[in-house]
Amino acid sequence: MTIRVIWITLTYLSDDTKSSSLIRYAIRIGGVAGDGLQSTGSLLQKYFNRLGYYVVGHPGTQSTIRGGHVWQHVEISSQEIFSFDRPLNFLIALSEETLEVHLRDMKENSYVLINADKVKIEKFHQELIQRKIKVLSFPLSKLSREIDVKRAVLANTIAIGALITLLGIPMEGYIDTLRKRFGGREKLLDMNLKALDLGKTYLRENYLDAFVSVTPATLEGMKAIVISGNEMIALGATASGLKFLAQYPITPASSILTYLSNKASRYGIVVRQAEDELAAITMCIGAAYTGVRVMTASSGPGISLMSEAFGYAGMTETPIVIVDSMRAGPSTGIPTKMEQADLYSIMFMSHGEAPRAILAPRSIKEAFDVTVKAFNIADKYQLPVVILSDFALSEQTASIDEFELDVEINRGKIWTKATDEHPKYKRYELTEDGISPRAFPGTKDAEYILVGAEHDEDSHSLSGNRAGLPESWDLREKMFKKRFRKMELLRDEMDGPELYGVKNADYTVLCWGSTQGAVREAIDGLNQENSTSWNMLSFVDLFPFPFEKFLPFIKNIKTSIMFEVNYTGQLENLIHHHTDWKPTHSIRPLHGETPTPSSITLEITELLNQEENQ
Amino acid sequence: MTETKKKINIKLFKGSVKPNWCPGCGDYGLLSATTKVLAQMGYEPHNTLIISGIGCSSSFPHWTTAYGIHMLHGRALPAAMGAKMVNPSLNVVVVGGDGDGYGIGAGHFIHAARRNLDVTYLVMNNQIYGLTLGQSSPSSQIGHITLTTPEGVDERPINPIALALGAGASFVARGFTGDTKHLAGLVQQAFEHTGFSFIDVLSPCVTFNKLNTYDWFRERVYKLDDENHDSTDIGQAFVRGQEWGERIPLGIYYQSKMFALHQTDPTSRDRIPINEPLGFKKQNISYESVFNDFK
Repeated sequence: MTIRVIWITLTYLSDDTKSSSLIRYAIRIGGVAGDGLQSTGSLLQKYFNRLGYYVVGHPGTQSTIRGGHVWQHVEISSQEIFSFDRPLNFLIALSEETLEVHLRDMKENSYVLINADKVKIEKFHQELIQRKIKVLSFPLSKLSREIDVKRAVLANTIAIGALITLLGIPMEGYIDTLRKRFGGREKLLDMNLKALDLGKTYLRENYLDAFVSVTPATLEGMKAIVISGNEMIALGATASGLKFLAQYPITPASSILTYLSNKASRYGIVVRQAEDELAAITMCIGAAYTGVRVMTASSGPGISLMSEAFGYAGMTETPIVIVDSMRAGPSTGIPTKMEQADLYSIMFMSHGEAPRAILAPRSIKEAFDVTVKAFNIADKYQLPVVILSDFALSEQTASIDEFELDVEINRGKIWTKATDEHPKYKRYELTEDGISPRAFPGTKDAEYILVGAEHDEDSHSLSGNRAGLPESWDLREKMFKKRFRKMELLRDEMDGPELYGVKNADYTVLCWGSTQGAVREAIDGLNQENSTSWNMLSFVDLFPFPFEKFLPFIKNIKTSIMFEVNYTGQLENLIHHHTDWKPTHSIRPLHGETPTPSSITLEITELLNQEENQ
Repeated sequence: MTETKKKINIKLFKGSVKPNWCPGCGDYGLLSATTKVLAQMGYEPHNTLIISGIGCSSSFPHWTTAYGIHMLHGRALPAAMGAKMVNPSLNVVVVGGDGDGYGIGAGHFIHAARRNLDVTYLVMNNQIYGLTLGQSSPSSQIGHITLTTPEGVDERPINPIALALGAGASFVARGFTGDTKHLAGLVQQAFEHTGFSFIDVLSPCVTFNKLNTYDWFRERVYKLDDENHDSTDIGQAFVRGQEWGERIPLGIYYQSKMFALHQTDPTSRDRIPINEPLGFKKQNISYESVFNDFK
């Protein structure tokens, strides 16, 4: 069997050999599900954030509760970073499989800390020596038993104690992080503190000269937070005035539900776990009709189930926000891997033709603003708005500066009583902009029936005894045009792509959504490495596609590469549909792993080499 | 109520659009009973929300003056849940047919019941698919010859009473549109009940169901009230719930007092969400407390 390498260690990224102090340091901890890696990863990220480092975290999960192979990646830097990357400086191997999977990612002069009680190192010996990887062999199981026989997870804390000692950075911050985590549970805290100390002592006693220098942190400690994409969406929704969330658990959207469930009362949101996704979205429609801002979240399989109700929301002009955290499909696909393959299915979701909007945040930071925009668009244009996230964006974590939580809220046209402009309430009044005022139950003289059938201005159904009558022909056409007039107005509000880099680069890479950070770092690397110049065009607002804002870029594009994680080239085709423009090349990785700067660089390099050889 | 002397407009909830149901349809009986009871109990159209699914009977909201949602097939109850939870001050009535509630929407039925969602659910059960011109329904009787069962129905019909009891509904009743006075009494008690109140309304289809006719029911129905039924005893309720065929009980099978969902929900138990301010700042939530979770 040949293993296809999907990433490489590039010289520009591995600064270790040239400088004695590392700007960027990548740590990974691997083991089996149930080893408490996510918790350890979270503590570690909070610790580095506390010290003032930029932090990015990425979970490597499987659909497994116990066993299997899982890992947690934590990358820190004293300069701003936009993605995690494959190459590793430090690996904690709690299982042998961890070495089998991650050894290939290890840089020269990197360290691997193994649990000697579980990992047989012999078969890796030669490779470790050849690649100058240093081994720290810790009997972690035995050491953790010395503290408490029942708490195997203390092994993680011992390893962290060793890591912090190796890096020569202050241990106090980690103690504070543990103290916050175990607040009140003194016994647990005490055991962890002992474990931390044991890690430090064991390293010093057995590996006296092991030392790594990382450049000092540049941020003021405790000013930033470490947060996931899903949590940012949840905060964006709360800031926007969310009052009702109904959701059915599914990877990788569940953490929106779990986070907001725990905040429901405090944030004033009714949070309900629905019996299925059909219920989740129709609960939202009921709540939205009643007058509040609503949201549901899911991933491909659940989104597919919402299809009929999605059309209903479009037809009845009911504002709802839906988060689609994309995972690899079709069908069950690979639930714990990312993909960008739901753009089409959302564009065309549900039978018939109904308006909708699609936004794809490009970073954890941006997820907040995009969510706020989604709610305002939903209310203003009275349609369903989909936030296209994906496994990588939803479940990754990053340190970001605290930010303004007070946002502009635009609830759109709402009728509360008779005015000169709208003396008599008509839910679907035919207006110039296609937008008619909403009224909510409780309002007098505005009673109407929300109906998925085609309807007249008063929302009386045209489906029953009026179907086929000449008066209905005209109304049907007027109502259709009204709904789609909104789409043209909305298109003006959609942002065009953002240019990163020089205007007239030799090469342009185009991307959308969560891959933006990794593409950006790849571009930076290529600009440093090559004599050629590179720039990037990244899209957030996808539908209705703002083609007029893309057109001005075309004349400056020389050789272009469209990068998206799907098979059919979904955004590429959408762009082509509107503009007739096609990129020179396309890269559509399907290996399931989250694209990283080095994997993208490799793919670009291979593509260009093939071109040269032809 | 202090305004008990106020003259009641019994037609307050009667809509201006004429129903397009067949003459003689059982659904007229429930429509008139419901609109009358709503007016008599002092509700007003602007604080009443009637939600339906799809089917003949689901056109119900259109024939009233209240707010309404004519939802997707089978999804009336989840829509009602969204509405009730963000505005518990509304009187939410859910109506539909047996195909809508016991077929495509059966999943939501049991979950609304177990949640004790404070809505009244009125199922106009005619044991046939009328709007699609006569296919068998989940409550069609064994042996019933329909468009889709040329040799007669060979699947056992659903038992809505036992299903609702099993799912934990706190008010389970059965009415008959051939006795609108008794039916109106049940509807009123259902509206007065806090929690999930369910009435299986036997509502003959005069066009497509020639088996379960008004006469067929009249020969079989009896009132639980006439037979010393204890509606607080779930064991008795289950026993009565098994009766069908020779004798069909009408009335309240079971009723119990328990908290409704909006009374236990961490948010709606102490506020009406639609009236609450939006965002962190206006809700007086300090930024520090929000960010502290992530440090």
